[in-house]
Amino acid sequence: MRIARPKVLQSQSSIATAMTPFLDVLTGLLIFLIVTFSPEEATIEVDPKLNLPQSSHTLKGVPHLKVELGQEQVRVNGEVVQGLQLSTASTDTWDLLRKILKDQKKDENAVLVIADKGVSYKFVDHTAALVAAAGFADIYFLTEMQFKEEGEKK
Amino acid sequence: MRNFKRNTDEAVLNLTPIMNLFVALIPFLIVSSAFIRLGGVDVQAPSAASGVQTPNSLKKDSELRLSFEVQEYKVIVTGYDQNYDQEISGVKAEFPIAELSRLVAYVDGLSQKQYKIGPSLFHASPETKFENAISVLNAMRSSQHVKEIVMAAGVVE
Repeated sequence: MRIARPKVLQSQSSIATAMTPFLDVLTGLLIFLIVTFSPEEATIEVDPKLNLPQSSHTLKGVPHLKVELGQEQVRVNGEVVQGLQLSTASTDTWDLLRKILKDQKKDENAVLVIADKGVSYKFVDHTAALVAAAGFADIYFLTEMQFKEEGEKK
Repeated sequence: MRNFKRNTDEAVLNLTPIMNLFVALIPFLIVSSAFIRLGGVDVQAPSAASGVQTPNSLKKDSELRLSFEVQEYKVIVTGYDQNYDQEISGVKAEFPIAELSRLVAYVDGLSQKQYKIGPSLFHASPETKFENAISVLNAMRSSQHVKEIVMAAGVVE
């Protein structure tokens, strides 16, 4: 018995030592995740088929009203505007979006526009005009964050 | 010797609670975080009333109004007076979309020439790709002197 006891102590000690690098990694990971965690951004659901353009500025806020312009479909807060196809859009079909925007609550003055980078600007322009006509004052365009390279600013 | 062994026993930390915390927090943060960082560019919507109107904040006389007109592959920057009635001589330049850093330098240079830059007007032609329009908006925002961007959109009936 006297010989066995020191062996137990030694094995406990070696287990405790092996935990240290593991805990270091976990602590580093935890800090990184907490720092980069953005609960507002996490609420934005973007269609994975959309390719967002890039910019180096952060969003000022995330408005509740989101208008999504895909290559074909238009969505408002995730729901497809039935009957509105960008390629065949006419005054009548744009009216569908106008009505939806007018019916939205005006708790906020801003609208988040999520558009594919390949979309023709004329559709964004028309959407902006409808957003303005519905009484919203600010438009936020969602982009992917592009990190500035050193010296780019000059 | 016995005392020494007892001290070694007490020094072993109980890591179970902190490990439980890590095991709960890390999966939560990994699942809920967006790995593609989202950014954005904000503009003021055009005035709801149609026609040539300028926002209320465009009433100070001393400010230079810049208009950024985006065409398919270039941007034209033009300086106007406070009502967008008259072009300011010497304040007009064109930049290719691929060289927007020159645009930022130009706007910053205007500010150094004693011009105080007021709200700026942004307009893009229909054939412009949205990606290019955003690149120009991003460049405008990168300039320290462009405080407000007002979007000039088409008229809806």
